[in-house]
Amino acid sequence: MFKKILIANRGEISLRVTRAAHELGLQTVAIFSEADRDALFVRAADEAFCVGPGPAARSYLNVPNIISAAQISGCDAVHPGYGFLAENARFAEICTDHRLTFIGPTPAVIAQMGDKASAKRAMEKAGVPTTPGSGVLATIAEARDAAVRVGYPVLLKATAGGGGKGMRAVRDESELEHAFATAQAEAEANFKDGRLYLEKLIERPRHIEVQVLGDAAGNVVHVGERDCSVQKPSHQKLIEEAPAPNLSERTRRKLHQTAVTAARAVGYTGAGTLEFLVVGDDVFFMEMNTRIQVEHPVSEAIYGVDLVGEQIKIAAGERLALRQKDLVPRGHAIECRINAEDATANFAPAAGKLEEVAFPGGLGIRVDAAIAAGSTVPPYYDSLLAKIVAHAPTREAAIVRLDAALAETHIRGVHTTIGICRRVLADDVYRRGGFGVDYLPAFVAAAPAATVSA
Amino acid sequence: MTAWIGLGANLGEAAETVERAFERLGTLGSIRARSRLYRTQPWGVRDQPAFVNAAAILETSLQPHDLLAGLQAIERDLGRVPSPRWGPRAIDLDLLFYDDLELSSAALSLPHPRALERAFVLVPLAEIDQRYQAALARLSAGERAEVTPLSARTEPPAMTEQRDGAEVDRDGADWAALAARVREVAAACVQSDLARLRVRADGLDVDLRRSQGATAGPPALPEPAGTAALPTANGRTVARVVDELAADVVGVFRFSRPAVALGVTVAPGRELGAVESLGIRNPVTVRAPGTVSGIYVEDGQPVDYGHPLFAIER
Repeated sequence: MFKKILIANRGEISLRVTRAAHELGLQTVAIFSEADRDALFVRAADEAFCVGPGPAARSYLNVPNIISAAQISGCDAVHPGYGFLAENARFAEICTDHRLTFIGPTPAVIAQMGDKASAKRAMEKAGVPTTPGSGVLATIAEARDAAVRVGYPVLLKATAGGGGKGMRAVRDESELEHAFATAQAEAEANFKDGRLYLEKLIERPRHIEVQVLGDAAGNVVHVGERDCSVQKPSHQKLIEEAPAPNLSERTRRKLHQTAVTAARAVGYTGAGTLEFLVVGDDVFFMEMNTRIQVEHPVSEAIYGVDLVGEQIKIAAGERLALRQKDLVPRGHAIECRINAEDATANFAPAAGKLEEVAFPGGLGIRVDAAIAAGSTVPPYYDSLLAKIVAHAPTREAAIVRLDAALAETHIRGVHTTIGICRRVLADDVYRRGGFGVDYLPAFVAAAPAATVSA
Repeated sequence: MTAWIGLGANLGEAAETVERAFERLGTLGSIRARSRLYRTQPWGVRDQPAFVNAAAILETSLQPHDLLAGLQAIERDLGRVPSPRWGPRAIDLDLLFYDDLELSSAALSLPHPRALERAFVLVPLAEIDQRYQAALARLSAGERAEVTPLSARTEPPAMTEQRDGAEVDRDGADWAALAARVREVAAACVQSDLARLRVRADGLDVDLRRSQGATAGPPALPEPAGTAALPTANGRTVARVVDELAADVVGVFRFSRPAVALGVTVAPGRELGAVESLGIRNPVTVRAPGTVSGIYVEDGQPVDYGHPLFAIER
């Protein structure tokens, strides 16, 4: 086992890793930027090093300073958290080069899953269902054939694409010719490359993901699924839950088995998540996240597993002690992300000083946060302030418990998402469950501004 | 500690942005004084958008660099989010003075190098701190006329001369004449035994007092820029010009041999030591001549970003 871990992150996830490490008897070294000098996560660690000024490019992404801090403090491992350097294969390599164990999968797996095309190829090879699509389409006739094969509606995309340029939704064959010509012209104009391909357009899908753990000996287990369909217009998640409601047992089993197959196929080590688009009983692989995720606590709640602790043990070379048959979910858990954001202004991030911070407590309530009254919310980073998680025997009871917990939560000084989260929890569509990722944008658009503010 | 802060906004709802900045300044300390809002119209140029300027005096427990970081956070917060309600906007918050501290580091110079040169800084500043009225009076009439209160009245400014207590009202004087008169009398004030000159005009309150011995009142006019240290916030010119050298990489500090000692005079370019990081030596060299007045590091000590290493005093 390691002796000391450097945490290359900030905020609540830095504190989360320190807690897991301390439970395992390990010391932690925090890094921080000048903007985070007085932050709680800095004090929770055993040692801390300032690695640069506020902007992340000069601090939390400053690889030489981070590696140097790990070296001079005598660390033997680096936990990257989520975001920043967590899915940077080059950083994982550099850690290894400096005799620091990167707590995550191998650089090769990070690189493979980080590239959409190579990830899709690997998944298809493993027999995992992906979004049906075509190769490069040379002519309209080829496009017509491909569209019939995958079935309308389809999405035309530029191979060189990005940012929606050269992308067209095509609902039926009558639209295809015009869409092909305009998408091709747009791609040519923007990327000097007019090549197009098409994919089946998956409408109003649910976002359901599966947590997996794999060790170096090739053992892989899944730790159930999470429904993350409550997403902001920016596709960032706001409310997550486990297990996914209104999902047939057949589809649930298919998701779990597919995830384990996929993780085993790429030789995955550590904690990872396979994200799927789900429509009815159809399941399509979207991407794999090769890190711990923000919403991991809902899985921890119902399975009673410390996922960050498991990450550390796996990285230290231990075999998975968890067996699939012992992993039995109990009850229902829901997480709300409390962000410093103005829900009435398209979730614009806010920064400032927190004048009042009061968190809830009680049976089945977990708060992962790294703020207190007087804390500053710097403008440079992700706006996540806290995660409030409720665990109860049923989904209905978890909603009631979480709403009561949010009512107890007071954060004054910046706009927060507490208000919008409570409105969603009270909404009939949310309470029924099983909706798609289009739910929250429509809900926010329909609600008068005054009623969604905190 | 006391900090003097200049505010300026130039896009969108500039006045509202400045008001919001005032609110946010309150989170960095307590605001002791705040000026009115001023409109700055570049002299002779009417087709450019006007700026809104203001000034504040802040009592704060934050150290200068932390205060600077706080001001920058407000700038980013108020300046970056184009929302449906407000158009694009930008705001500048300048840390002008911090007590009587003089320092220069990579991120921050105090006093602000251009604080006393520009009317849009000095007019609001002089409103809330009489000591800057002298500096304001040195600007040309045209420069000062660029800056008018946002709620400017249209009647011509009134002028009061106060000569040993006697007041003379001068209704109807136009701006140029007023400014010329102020300069003329200010020059006379410096050369003669006139004790005090006070000029009140719309948005302007110039109070020149002659210094009467070492301890009496604020000083008269500042030295011309560039020939001496700038006057500081409390009006005294102090010898504390400190250049702080800090680590800009994480690593282990090693002294150059022979190790420098306190009180030693050092020249620019002199290498005092190096921060070793990942096998690379990052030299720490003197930027401006002076004497070593602080050594904050030991040989072989791990240092992180911003760790103070040396103070060089001029």
